[in-house]
Amino acid sequence: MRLIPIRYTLLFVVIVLTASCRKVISLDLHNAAKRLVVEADVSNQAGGCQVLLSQTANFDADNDFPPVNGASVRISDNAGNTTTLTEASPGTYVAPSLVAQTGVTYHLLVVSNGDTVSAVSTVPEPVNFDNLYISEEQIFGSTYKLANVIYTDPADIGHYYQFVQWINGVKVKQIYTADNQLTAGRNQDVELYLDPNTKDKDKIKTGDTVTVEMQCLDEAAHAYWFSAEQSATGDNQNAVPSNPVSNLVGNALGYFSAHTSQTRTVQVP
Amino acid sequence: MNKLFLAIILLAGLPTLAQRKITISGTLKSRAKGETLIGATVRVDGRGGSVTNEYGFYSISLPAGSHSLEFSAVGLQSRTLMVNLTRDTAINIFLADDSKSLDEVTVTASSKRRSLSSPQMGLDHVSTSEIKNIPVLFGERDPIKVISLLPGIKSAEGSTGFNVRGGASDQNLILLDEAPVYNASHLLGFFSTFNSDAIKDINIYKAGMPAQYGGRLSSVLDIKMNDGNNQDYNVSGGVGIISAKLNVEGPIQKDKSSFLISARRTYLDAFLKLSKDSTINTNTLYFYDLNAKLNYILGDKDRLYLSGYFGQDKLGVGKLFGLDWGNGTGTLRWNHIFSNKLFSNTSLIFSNYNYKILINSGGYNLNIFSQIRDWNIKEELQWYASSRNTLRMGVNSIYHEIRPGEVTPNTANSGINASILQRRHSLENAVYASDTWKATDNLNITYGGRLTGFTILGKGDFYKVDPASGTILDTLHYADGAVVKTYLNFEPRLAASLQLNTTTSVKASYVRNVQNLHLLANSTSSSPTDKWVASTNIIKPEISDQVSVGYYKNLPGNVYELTVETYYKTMQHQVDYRDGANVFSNTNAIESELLFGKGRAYGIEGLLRKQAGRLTGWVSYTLSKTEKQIDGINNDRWYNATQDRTHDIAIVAMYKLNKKWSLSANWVYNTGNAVTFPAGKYRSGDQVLFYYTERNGYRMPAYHRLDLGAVCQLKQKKRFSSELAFSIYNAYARQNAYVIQFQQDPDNAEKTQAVRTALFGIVPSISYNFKF
Repeated sequence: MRLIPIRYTLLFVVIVLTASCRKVISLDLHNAAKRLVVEADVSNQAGGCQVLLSQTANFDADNDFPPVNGASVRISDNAGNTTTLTEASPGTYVAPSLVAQTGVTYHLLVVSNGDTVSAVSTVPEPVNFDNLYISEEQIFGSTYKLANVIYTDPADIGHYYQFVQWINGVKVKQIYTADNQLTAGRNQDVELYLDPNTKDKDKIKTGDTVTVEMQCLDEAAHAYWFSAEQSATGDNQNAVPSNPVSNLVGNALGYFSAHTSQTRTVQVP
Repeated sequence: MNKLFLAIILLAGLPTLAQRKITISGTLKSRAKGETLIGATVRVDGRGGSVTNEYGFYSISLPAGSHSLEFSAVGLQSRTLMVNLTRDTAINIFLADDSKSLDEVTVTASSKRRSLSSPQMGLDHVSTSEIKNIPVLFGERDPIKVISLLPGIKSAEGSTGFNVRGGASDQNLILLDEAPVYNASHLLGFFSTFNSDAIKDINIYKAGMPAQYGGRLSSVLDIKMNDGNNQDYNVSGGVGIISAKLNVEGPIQKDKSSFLISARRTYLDAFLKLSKDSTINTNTLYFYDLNAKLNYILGDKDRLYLSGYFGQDKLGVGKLFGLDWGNGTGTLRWNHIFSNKLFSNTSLIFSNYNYKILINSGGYNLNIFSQIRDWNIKEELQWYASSRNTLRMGVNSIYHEIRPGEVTPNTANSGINASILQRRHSLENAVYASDTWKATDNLNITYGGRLTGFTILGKGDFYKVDPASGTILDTLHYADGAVVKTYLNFEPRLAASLQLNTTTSVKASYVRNVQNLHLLANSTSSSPTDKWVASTNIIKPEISDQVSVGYYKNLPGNVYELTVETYYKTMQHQVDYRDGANVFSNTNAIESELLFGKGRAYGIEGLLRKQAGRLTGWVSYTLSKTEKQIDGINNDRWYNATQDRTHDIAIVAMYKLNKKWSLSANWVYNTGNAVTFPAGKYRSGDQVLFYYTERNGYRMPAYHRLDLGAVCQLKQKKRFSSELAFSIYNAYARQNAYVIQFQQDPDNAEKTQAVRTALFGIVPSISYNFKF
């Protein structure tokens, strides 16, 4: 279940009852020792195998996270095939030939500066991304255009999804996940809400191009994105802040996601 | 333990059998309204005596002969009777309104004094005149807001509930005419469910809870509704900037029976409707509540009360989302006086809380419903056994039914399946007894205990869960009515007071409390949709043990009262969500999402009250610490609880300028709540996530605020009187942080920023109140 509707309702009360005021402030935050960050994806699309290694940064630093060079990155499957990724640019490790197969379990092994990080992820059966369209919703004081993803949820429970949205090629900095615990066997029309604090310039307008990628992933990879959305995005109102639940074993932050990927694009009417 | 307990009762009772005593008993009422007087004082020969119980009943045993009896209550004229006692006597007393008008400097207390001699400690009282005068947000008079100005009681702006001595907000037993109220807030905590017009008496127990109360760890907030005037008809009401209210009461049959109806509704939604913008005028935002009470005097010995409360909040954003929630309670009570020494009360109590979420978004059209419902029966005897011993004993049985979550599609082609979680049933039984024993003229001791049994009943599935991973290992099926598990706990209650001289006393208490209903809240501020769960085979009863010591001094002239209390409290079997738990997973095996640990809280509280004169009010200060330790959170180390605040200060002043004007002000300051801030950031899927290394390792900025108020009494006619109340909330426009969020700078993708949201600037308000 998504929390978004409740968040909107709470925000609505705050707007009506209070003269609430948002202001950027400076805080004195402690700095922590740097940690390795692994963003590992394999997908059923050519070029979909990419592992990014970087480090955490202090809050005040720029968002160009220091890449981690010279690591050994390998992905193997349960049939015994092992692919060693090559470092295409600093911190970016790729294997263009590795295309994930449905039902196959992949093993990730990263060795960097003496740290070993491993993870396991399985590509699930894909669910067809049937359609993408734009709807309009009126939410207190403004009208939002929102992307809607259409698909049919399989009847058996245990399917997990992640949606990634781009507006005119710019990725929306939000995490959208779904599972089918409550929706098995039903036609789905998932509205991708924009954060209530989204600035007007970043909202969807007529003439924009909206692209959405639908990923089908396994339970552990979904748990990472789900918990990241709940508690690691800096909005500490829906859950106590914490690091997401990771499927990595070893001293690192991040995830390993073996998934299927389908993409659709729509011109906003 | 129980044998020892019995032995103490017998020993305490024995010495009093020796001399011949005569008992006087009766009920104290106000002359004007016929309302029974709670906690009114009966002084014998100018010395200590007795106070009336929660139904206005008193009973005193005295040696035969002549005595002077002085009956007094706050705001009413005292009466003194000379009696020559030869046999047991019933004396019912009516006290008239204090006709001395307030343009003379009043010397009587503005609120009930705390007792030096009573062993009860950790008890605070708020009077209706304080509720009337203290300035509050939007001028909406609110007992809970006033309570949070007292030491040891904390509440946060825009958050449901309050915290007492380090306890969580679900650890307060909130009783309205004995019925538990599960969510005491309206509009997400900006207002409480208690309409001050209908309220007669408010007590909050922070420590040394008497044995008749049980079921929550931290506090008991005991609110009694007015009975209704059985002498004359009264109508009162008020119109404020966000709400209007009306209170009607009067006799059904004079002297015998009366009714009271009190209603309140906000009309913020009416302002929304005025907008021409359809994104605004289709929204819903209001609450209402209704208090009603009937009472019948059936004779000298019997009295019946029927009281009820119903309140509802409705929020809606267009047709997209809706959130409704509300409480309903009902209480039927029968007072019976068996003899001049034995008072009985039997209560049948019903309580209900539910919420409903409505979503119509994209392909989802659904309702989510959740409910907790209690049926409760209670029998209590108060036995004024001798001049030295007053006993209270009772039995209580509550049947709880919880519907944890029910998701239902509301259109045929909704993208969602129905998912109805199993109802949970349980039986909470308690038997209790306590004795307040005047051991010597200066030493008073209350000792007793409460034995509680919590029985979890089928039908339903219960689980074995691996505590480390939360994985379900086994599912156990139970048939309808089958006993899943019974938790038996004994809760000792001990308190003693030693009066050092006529103006000074010291007190000490120890109390154990057990709680079997737990509110699961994953968010940092609680919301009406937090989940109530009962203890299960895995969720154990929460247990707290509190030791408290206090010093009490009436300063010269008896105008000032100084109270200093210190406490140490431990809490076992505290419940929290795992990191990354799916709060809305709608699973029967909620335990797989939970972690268990312990807590500790300690502090010192000071309260200096000025009780009489033109200027009344108080200064309160709390220095405290609250910590938790839960395996699986914060690397298993102790961490500050969210509600941990080091310093808490409140200054409340009410000044009676003249017959027409009274002024008031309050100022609060507190250390910010403990909060989790990031220690860094990292990239995940082309997006910045924040990196956390410790739970609640930071503080919100300090909170402080000044509120001002004034009440202007308008011209009084024979029966009609009215007043205008003005208030300014946050008078110096402090931008207090409600929440601090972290985000990518929308104008510079290279940067992250911290954004503070403050809820209020200066909020002025005006309201008009009348009475006839």
